[in-house]
Amino acid sequence: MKILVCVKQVPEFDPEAEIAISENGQDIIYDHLTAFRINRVDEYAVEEALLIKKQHPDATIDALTVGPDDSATVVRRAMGMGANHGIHIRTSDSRNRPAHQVAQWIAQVVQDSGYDLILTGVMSEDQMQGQVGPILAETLKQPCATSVIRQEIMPETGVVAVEREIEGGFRDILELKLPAVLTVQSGMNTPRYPSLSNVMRAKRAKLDIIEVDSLTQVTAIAQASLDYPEKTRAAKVLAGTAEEKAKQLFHILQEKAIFP
Amino acid sequence: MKKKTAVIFESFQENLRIASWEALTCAIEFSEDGVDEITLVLMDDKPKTKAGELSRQSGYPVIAIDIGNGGLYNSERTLSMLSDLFRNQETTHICLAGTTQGLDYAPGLATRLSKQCMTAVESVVTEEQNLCLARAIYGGKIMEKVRVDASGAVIVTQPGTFKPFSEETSGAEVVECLTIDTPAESIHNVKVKQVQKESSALAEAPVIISAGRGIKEEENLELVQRLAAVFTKSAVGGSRPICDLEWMEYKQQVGITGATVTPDLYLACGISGAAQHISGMRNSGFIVSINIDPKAAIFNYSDVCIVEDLTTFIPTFIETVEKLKPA
Ligand SMILES: Cc1cc2nc3c(=O)[nH]c(=O)nc-3n(C[C@H](O)[C@H](O)[C@H](O)COP(=O)(O)OP(=O)(O)OC[C@H]3O[C@@H](n4cnc5c(N)ncnc54)[C@H](O)[C@@H]3O)c2cc1C
Repeated sequence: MKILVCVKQVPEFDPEAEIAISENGQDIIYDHLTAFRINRVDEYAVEEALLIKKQHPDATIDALTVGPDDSATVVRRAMGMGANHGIHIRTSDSRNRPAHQVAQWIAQVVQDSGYDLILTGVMSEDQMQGQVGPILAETLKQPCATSVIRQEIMPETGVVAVEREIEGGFRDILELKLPAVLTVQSGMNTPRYPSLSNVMRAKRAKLDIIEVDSLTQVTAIAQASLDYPEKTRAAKVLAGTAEEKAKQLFHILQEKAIFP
Repeated sequence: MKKKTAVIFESFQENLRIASWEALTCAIEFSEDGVDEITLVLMDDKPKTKAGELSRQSGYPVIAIDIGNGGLYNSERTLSMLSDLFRNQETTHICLAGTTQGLDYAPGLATRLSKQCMTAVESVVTEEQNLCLARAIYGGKIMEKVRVDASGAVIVTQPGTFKPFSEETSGAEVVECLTIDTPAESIHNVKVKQVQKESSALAEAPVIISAGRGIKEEENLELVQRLAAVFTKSAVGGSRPICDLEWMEYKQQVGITGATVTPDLYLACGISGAAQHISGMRNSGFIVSINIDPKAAIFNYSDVCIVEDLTTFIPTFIETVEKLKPA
């Protein structure tokens, strides 16, 4: 069984580091303090692949990312957790590629690789589109289930049974024919920390590097400009020492009749 | 030229989703000078009576699609039905609500129709005389305004951001019925099951103290509970990551995949303000947030913002209340 896990590198939203908009309003500028890490929900996808491998020891797991040079660290992170092999579709600069572009690049690279199952996180924390998984499935003409919170793969029958999380505490229970694409929701499992031996192996491992220029180009139709959000309420920022702020808050809540 | 816009209405257990009425508002706002032709598409297993009602209530024509399949959503069938329908109708824009169902099929539908897809759309804005769609990125710290391609788009609204459509209409009852007859080959529905009952504790509490990943350690939950105890009637809630960590029960989760709450006071401690959380609490009476990051997105949705470390501020506040509260 061959499993592919797609992972993304995202900036850490550290209050110390500034995420700013460039002067032309088109790009995001990262502060030199900005650290980058794996998208959290993608770690759940990697863990789920590892849990499948535990049950089906013949399974191999490839981890793939699309992004600039340094985003290879998230592939190595997945390998540190236990993925067997890494693939890096390398873009020149921008991290902020539209989802359909990323999905179609991945599709071009993996369409003949014979993966039985493709896993990815339900949404990235930076672009927040939630689209790469379903567009990848559509492009590969495979069935897809999003927000998956449980799965049981049955290679003998060529089926994966899934539970999708839907609103109001309900779950949608489905069976998908393999090969299939699942986007994983947080809480599905408990992602492990990379092990020292795997980290050493991952460090030395050679990744498959595919330059994006070698792929058929997909036009990015969406034109965007960036802005800071507007306040939807008064957003009164309390000033002073912590004690002074506490007093102010008490009086505000008293005025609102929340305190007697 | 008149553009054709379709709004897809989703039903769940006999009711239309409120979020679909919000998607209709988005479609109307996005329709240039209000001249675009809007049609509603209702997906249901007994759509006829509901479609008539929907058409009368909204004043728009409705295409009712009998989804069969015991009323269960199946993305394979939905995709094939809707892509055929919109191709035949030459629909330009398609609006739908970003429910777990909408988010499941919208990107695939857009791909099949060669349209762009935008999820988590929060508002319609004008930029250099162009109508644009605004959506939050980077956990709500930045807004992206996307210009929509003239060839059309699949527009997925973030639940809770647009006002549900509720205009008085002169009423219309134009209904056309279609049936999905494409069998599903690769996705088989087993059933829908309820794994969690919604809690009444959050729904009824006039004060909700909510904790996010900013509490960092499970031990700090105690702080949040002590804070809740200074209010006469209160409940403790949390963001999704706190429930994923099993520090709280799922029924305490606030947000799009948890509870939607409207207490008199919502006090957010260490919550960043991602759209999925905001959808569940934005209509609270009064919102106070404590966050160490002065640029946290939650502050844009708050009446009062406190830039402090919650581990020191909460004890200080509790002390202050004890001192100042009339005996
Ligand atoms: C389909 C889908 C559905 C989802 N549904 C939900 C949902 O129903 N509810 C939900 O909440 N989320 C939901 N999410 C997740 C959502 O996108 C966010 O990831 C989540 O809300 C973030 O939780 P948080 O704010 O607690 O954590 P973070 O985003 O990590 O924020 C932590 C905050 O704490 C602050 N902080 C850190 N230390 C301190 C300190 N010492 N004192 C004060 N502040 C501090 C930080 O500045 C930061 O702002 C969903 C996501 C998806 C994809």
